[in-house]
Amino acid sequence: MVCLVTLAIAVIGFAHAKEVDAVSEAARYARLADSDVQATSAAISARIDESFAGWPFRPRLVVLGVADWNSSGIQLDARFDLFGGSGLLVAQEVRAHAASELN
Amino acid sequence: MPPQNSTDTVLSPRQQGATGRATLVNDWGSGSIEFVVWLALVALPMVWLVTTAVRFETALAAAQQIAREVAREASLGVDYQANIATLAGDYGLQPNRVATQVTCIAAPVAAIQSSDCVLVRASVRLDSTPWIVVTIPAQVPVVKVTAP
Repeated sequence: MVCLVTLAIAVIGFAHAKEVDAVSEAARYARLADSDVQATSAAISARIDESFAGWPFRPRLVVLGVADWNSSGIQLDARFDLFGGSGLLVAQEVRAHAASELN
Repeated sequence: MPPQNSTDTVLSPRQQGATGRATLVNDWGSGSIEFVVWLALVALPMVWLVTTAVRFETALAAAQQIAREVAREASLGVDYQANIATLAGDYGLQPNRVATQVTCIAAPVAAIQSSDCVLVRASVRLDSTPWIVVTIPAQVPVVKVTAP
């Protein structure tokens, strides 16, 4: 039981770090594409796939919200299903901000 | 099941109950102590160790992402200091836990927020974690042109 708990903590924590990385990276490039939601979703999913290559599970991007931030930047709100498609609904939410390169 | 050989003994239900009850009480006493010791020496340290490792990993990831964004904003001429609180909030961190330094490391005149700067280095540290250093080429603001 304790091993399961520690394993769950490790897996969820690791996945969260990778999700933060993917969403933050996508936020920095999203503004160049002028906040294209589809392109941003694809960028996040691609980054997640790279991070979890060879792993028996991978988070699935369920919801992505794109909003303006400070009138010159972007805010991404992403929700992941940690064990995407497996029926285990472990949701994680990640938010990232990035300044705009558009003037 | 019948006795297999002459040394087997069949206990009556009463004998079994008495024996089982006595054994159970005895096991509960030593078992609980054993459980507490195992909890203190194995289980809790294991959970603490994993939790600490995950928090450290998450802190390093957050520091790296904040460093990249701060370097980018500085090179774009954005007031990155004003955005550190928001960036820290993305990772559930208090702004006062985040220390940042931004320098221009390749320019005729080493001045950040200058078009002369070609390489920007940002260093971010969370609490007592090591400094995370990120160096990126200076970002160029993009002018959006719309067709008439």
